[in-house]
Amino acid sequence: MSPPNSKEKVVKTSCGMCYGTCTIRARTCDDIVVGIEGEPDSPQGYGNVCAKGISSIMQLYDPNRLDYPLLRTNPEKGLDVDPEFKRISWAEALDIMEEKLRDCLNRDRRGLYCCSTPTFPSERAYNIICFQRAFGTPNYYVAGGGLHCGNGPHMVAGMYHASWSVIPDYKYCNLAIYWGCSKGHGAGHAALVAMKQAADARERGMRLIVFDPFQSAQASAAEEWVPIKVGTDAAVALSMTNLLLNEYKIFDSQYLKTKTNAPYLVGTDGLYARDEKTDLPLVWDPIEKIAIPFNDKNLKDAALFGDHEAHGDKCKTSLEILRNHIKKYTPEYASKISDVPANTIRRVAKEFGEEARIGSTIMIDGHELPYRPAASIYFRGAGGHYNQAWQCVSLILLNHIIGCGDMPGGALAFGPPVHLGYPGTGRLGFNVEPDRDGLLVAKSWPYAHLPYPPKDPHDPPERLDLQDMFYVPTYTTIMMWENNEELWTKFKIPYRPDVMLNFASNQIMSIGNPHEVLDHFLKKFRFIISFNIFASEFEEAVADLVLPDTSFLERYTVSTTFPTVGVSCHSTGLGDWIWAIRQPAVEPKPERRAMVDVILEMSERLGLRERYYEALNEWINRAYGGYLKPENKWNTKEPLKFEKIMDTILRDKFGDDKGLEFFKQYGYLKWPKRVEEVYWRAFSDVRVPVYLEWIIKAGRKSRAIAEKYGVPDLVDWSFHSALPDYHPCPSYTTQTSENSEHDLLAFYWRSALHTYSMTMENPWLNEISENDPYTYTIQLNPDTAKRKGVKSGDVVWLENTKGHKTQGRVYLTEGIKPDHVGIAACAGHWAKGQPIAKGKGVFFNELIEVDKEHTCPLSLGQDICVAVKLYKSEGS
Amino acid sequence: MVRYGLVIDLKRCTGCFGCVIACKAEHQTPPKVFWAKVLRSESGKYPVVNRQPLPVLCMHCKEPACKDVCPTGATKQREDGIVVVDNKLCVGCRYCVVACPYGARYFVEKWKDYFTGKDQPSSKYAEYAKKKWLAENDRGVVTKCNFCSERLEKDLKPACVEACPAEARTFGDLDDPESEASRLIKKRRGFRLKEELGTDPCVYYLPSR
Amino acid sequence: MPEVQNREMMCAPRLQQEWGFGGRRKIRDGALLIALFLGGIGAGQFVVSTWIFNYPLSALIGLLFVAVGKSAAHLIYLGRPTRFFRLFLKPRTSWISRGLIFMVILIIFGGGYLAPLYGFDWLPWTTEDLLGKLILAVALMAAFIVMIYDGFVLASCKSISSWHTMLLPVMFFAYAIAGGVAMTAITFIFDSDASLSVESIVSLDLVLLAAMGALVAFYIINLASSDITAKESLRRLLFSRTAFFFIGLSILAGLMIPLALTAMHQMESEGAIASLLLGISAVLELAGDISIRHSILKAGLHAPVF
Ligand SMILES: Nc1nc2c(c(=O)[nH]1)N[C@H]1C(S)=C(S)[C@@H](COP(=O)(O)OP(=O)(O)OC[C@H]3O[C@@H](n4cnc5c(=O)[nH]c(N)nc54)[C@H](O)[C@@H]3O)O[C@H]1N2
Ligand SMILES: Nc1nc2c(c(=O)[nH]1)N[C@H]1C(S)=C(S)[C@@H](COP(=O)(O)OP(=O)(O)OC[C@H]3O[C@@H](n4cnc5c(=O)[nH]c(N)nc54)[C@H](O)[C@@H]3O)O[C@H]1N2
Ligand code: SF4
Ligand code: SF4
Ligand code: SF4
Ligand code: SF4
Ligand code: SF4
Ligand SMILES: [Mo]
Repeated sequence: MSPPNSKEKVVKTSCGMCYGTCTIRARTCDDIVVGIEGEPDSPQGYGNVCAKGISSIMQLYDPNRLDYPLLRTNPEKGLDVDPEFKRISWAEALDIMEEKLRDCLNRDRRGLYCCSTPTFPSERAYNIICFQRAFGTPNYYVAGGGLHCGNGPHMVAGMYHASWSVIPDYKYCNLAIYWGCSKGHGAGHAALVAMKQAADARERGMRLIVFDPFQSAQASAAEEWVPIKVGTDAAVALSMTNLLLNEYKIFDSQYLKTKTNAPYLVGTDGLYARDEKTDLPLVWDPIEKIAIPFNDKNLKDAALFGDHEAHGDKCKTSLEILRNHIKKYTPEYASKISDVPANTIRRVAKEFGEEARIGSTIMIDGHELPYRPAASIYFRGAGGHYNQAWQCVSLILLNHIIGCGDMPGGALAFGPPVHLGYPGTGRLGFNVEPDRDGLLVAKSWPYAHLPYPPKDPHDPPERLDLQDMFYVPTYTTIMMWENNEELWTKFKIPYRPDVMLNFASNQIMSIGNPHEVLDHFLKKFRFIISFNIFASEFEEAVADLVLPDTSFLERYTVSTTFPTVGVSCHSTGLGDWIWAIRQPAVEPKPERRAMVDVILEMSERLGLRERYYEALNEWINRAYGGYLKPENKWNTKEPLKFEKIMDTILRDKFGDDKGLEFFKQYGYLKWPKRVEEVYWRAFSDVRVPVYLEWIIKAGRKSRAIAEKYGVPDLVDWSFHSALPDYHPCPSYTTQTSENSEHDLLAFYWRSALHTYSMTMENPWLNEISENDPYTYTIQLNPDTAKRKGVKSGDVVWLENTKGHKTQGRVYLTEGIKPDHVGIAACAGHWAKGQPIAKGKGVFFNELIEVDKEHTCPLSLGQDICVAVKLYKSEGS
Repeated sequence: MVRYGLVIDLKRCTGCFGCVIACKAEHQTPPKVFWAKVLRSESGKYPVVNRQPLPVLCMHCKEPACKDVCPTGATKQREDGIVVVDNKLCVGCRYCVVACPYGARYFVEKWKDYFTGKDQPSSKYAEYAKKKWLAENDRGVVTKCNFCSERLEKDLKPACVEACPAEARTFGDLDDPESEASRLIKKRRGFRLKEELGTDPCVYYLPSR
Repeated sequence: MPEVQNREMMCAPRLQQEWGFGGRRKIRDGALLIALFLGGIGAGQFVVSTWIFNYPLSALIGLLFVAVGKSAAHLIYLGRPTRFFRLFLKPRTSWISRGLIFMVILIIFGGGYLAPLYGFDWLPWTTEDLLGKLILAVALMAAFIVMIYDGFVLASCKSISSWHTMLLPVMFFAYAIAGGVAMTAITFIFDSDASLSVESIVSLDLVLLAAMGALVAFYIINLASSDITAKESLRRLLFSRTAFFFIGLSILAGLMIPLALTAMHQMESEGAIASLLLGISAVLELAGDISIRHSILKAGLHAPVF
């Protein structure tokens, strides 16, 4: 294995090839990383490791990595422009960075735009979020993250589960339905952990039904693959809810009464009927025959259905409204929309309802809990559409109709939002709580704002993306719309894009059509500073200063598995909690610097030390469930040092004997999860909405602002309603119109081999991708191919209605809906700085338009399904 | 005597290629050489389709097609059943490569760097990889999965087994009816690939449905 | 599913890429084809020229094809040529060892048999005496195996359906003999001293052509009635780029035209023209010989494992 007399070492750290943050052992031999293995006892990976994780060796030792700072000398920016990078020293680089940031501080601090990838949530906190707050800019977004994946899904999971997403309780679930997510089959959150749990579940006999236009990894492992037209999941789910409520009469009354707002009375104005004294929402007590506040201790029972009078107004219960509202979603109607046969919808709804075993209970650890072994699970695929907010609500509602939300066997919050404290110290506690209306509030949340309740909007908005005048959505792409200048002027935003600080995101490739992202947005910056480990398309096209970051195997970070509480990284269900760090396996090359060190130094130089410490306090409170103990408070006289910051946080949470030295040695700390944490809903008096009354009010407020500043049609305000609906994507109109050439719907899916665009440069992963028939090709159904006169292996163009087009090689598979084309990951690189990735695979995002038409009016997430025409490429 | 074997559970496997890379990293196999692979197969017609990932490696056959044809005796079968190539004896005639029904064998003419495709290592790791590869496998000879015999000596499981995120791979002694591997084969009705050729493979598969 | 696996990670019939031109090492792997070809025709020429025609010069040339040509081609092909001697170590199980051992026997005994004619007249035997005949018998037996072993090498590969048939040794034998006749004829044309009966060459050729034609036909029928991998091999032989070699060179140029020429020969036995026809037909037959070996190697497909 290793030569005799060699120096061997094992470093326990956290993988960073995706945000799964598995605990790994980096094996080194004479200070070279020669192996990456799973850490056997860690619940974050169970000792396993995936293809990407192992391949990180090849990323670490890629000779194309950045080794010193680069300064753009060509003032022109653009996709085919040579940046004419010049090597400069760190001293020069820091001087330039300081000067540009100081100018920005002097002009208007809000001109700083901070961007980051979702891949390193822990680094992101210290590199970007704390700095952003110290600096004083509200402008921040996460590349394609949020826009492609998070807006609808996170917002809705946040509202219903105080969590990032939902996942089946693999230990007990018997029937899971997946709507556009891979959970446990390669991608998704806690990818590796879920893969073992899902495999255990399959072996145990859990059935999986997958709605997906592509027979994805999860669909091929499933009992049943149901091909569905992209973006139409809401129609099917609402139809299933209709069947459950109105036809099969399968629903969990007890759950609906106590864990949802189903009994809340709603007046003719569409708002809750409220108690005159307490202003609390009223429910109908059928025994006393009175309307009474939902949490009144005299309440004997609460009616789930029916018309009831309150304050002389004709009211209905929330569930009654929902039930009537969805009557139009007959299986036949949903079938026409989605291409899913009506009898399939009926059968799946019935199986789902019956498998929920409503009324049954299970004993776990001395607690008798409802046993609901069925779950409706979604993510990115269901999310990336015009109707993503309501789509996700429709999909998640199924769980709350059958009462399986965070119950054994049901749909669990991804990363439990409840932690009763690390046993050794009782610290790191966080919980959920009801707001005044009784609805679920996540106590900790990493985003700009909690998903619920909505804060009051800014009037006028302060952010360039106008997000703060909405407060329902998380991120928006409005700052990239063609008419952004006009919007900023109308909303009286006094500053413009000035300096961008980018951490590990390739915005040229990850968001949408790169020409438009560039022209409408990125070119407007005076100066762009980017930390990367390669010169990617982003750096080559627009970065003025490129700084060589360390890779995850060369740096520290403090909290990989707890990037924030209740977030995507943890395993699901019973098992262990884990707090892990990231630490260098080898010393970085001399001129590579960890971004966090640069950011801390820059904060010092700019005189932001105290503000950074303040931001840090806020972050620690929000992310790790509570402020530092008084004795651990920052000494603001002390310069910012990351190792000191880490040590303080660790000791504060885990005790003085478990500071950085402890974690350097052991890599992580674990302790068992408790039943009350995993199945927290049974123990918490919180409700979730079947009728989203508050959105009506939030929408009115935002609309008023829009009207006030003369942009009344900023978005389609009719989406700000209280009830889920199906709304078509703009792509269908073009697709279905008679004799349209754009007769195919294109979408993308994740391969277990790649993390968005950043792994294509890895020669091991690239080699498999080249040898796998799917990863680098365009998947097309053979019948469609015949119709189009193309053969497997032909090079074709896909072109959207605006003439934006992308090229790729066709691979024929029966595993795709005939009127769809599928593309994996985010490939098709062209940067010179990544020669292995260059020219490989298909660049889907060229087809994505970033505009109002393709923006969900409620969540403001991007619609990324595209109607395309397919034709053979010349000379193929 | 032990007889090493591997059981791959197709119900657990998701086709993630973890085993392929684990093997590559363990043995530093050069470009285009895959001791472990995951084959994509597809059958049926839309919408009733079955896409099945099929992880493969050397089957360590009891009656190895590769061994009999080898004119030099370089291909050997150890007592524990592991079929190995002695790189000191192999002449690179590739009769074994052609004869192996499972595509398990790879001729390597010379070591190449993954980034440059050249003989010169492009990094410290590549230097390490080259040295290790040449010491353990050499050039001008045929190479293949050795069931990670160097790991077995240290009481470790094969790298691909250790890594597999779905824990779909079980390594063990097929001669021991009590071993987890034997137990799984019996309980789940394990089958083998191309049994009709009489190679008597020691890699078993558990059906996906 | 596509016809063949064009990427490593696919489950479909898989092309063998080790032997013949256009494999992993493009040109260098072609040396193996050359070795098989030279071995076949060289041994064939030796047999034809000793056993049938008693034409020592031609036998010597055949022997040199084997001793120099085939050996050199093997060495070029091997990954580790300096270890070539190891190839002889496993005759009990490996057809390569068997073939090569008999190649050496052929060289030694064939050389020994001819040696007295070429300067080694001090040797205690002549080509005519009993000892000489015995030596020849051993050489002939060895040549026979050299002509046939490569067919067995291919036929022993169970997973390559288009090879795994006893027709291959027979075919390769027939082609080796025919190649030997063609080589003998060519030698004869250039050798003004020789006195052979052209008629007998031509009739022998006719028989062989007919036999080869029949064998090729059997082979095609065999493939067509075998598993899907064999059918795919056949498809490649008949309709892919390989068809140029298989149909164009092997069947048309290598069988049909020589047959026609032989027929013409029956009518036109005028000296110069007859030689010309014979020469053309011999060259075409050799082209057919190498082409058929090439196409069979190229069309070799491993059956999918699943
Ligand atoms: N076609 C397509 N588009 C997509 C997606 C998709 O799957 N397909 N996914 C979408 C989703 S959901 C998301 S969340 C986004 C993600 O989008 P991004 O966050 O922009 O991700 P990448 O495009 O992979 O860019 C990551 C960059 O980080 C760099 N990098 C890697 N490691 C390090 C490091 O340690 N330090 C530093 N400083 N840099 C590093 C890489 O070189 C790369 O340039 O993409 C979205 N867009
Ligand atoms: N290996 C790997 N793991 C990752 C990532 C990665 O890039 N690679 N990225 C991480 C990030 S940031 C994210 S956001 C998650 C995303 O993880 P997932 O949610 O699993 O993301 P995808 O694979 O993009 O989408 C899931 C499936 O949705 C299908 N789909 C597309 N449109 C529709 C639709 O309209 N309806 C339905 N029903 N299905 C549809 C696609 O075919 C695909 O199979 O993964 C995280 N984990
Ligand atoms: S799942 Fe993600 S974090 Fe875990 S090993 Fe794979 S790439 Fe690394
Ligand atoms: S690592 Fe495991 S799950 Fe992944 S392809 Fe290999 S056997 Fe299948
Ligand atoms: S799989 Fe192939 S290489 Fe492995 S023992 Fe069997 S015949 Fe030999
Ligand atoms: S290549 Fe090596 S191992 Fe294979 S048959 Fe030839 S000598 Fe034996
Ligand atoms: S057993 Fe070892 S050598 Fe064989 S495929 Fe697995 S990792 Fe590779
Ligand atoms: Mo994402």
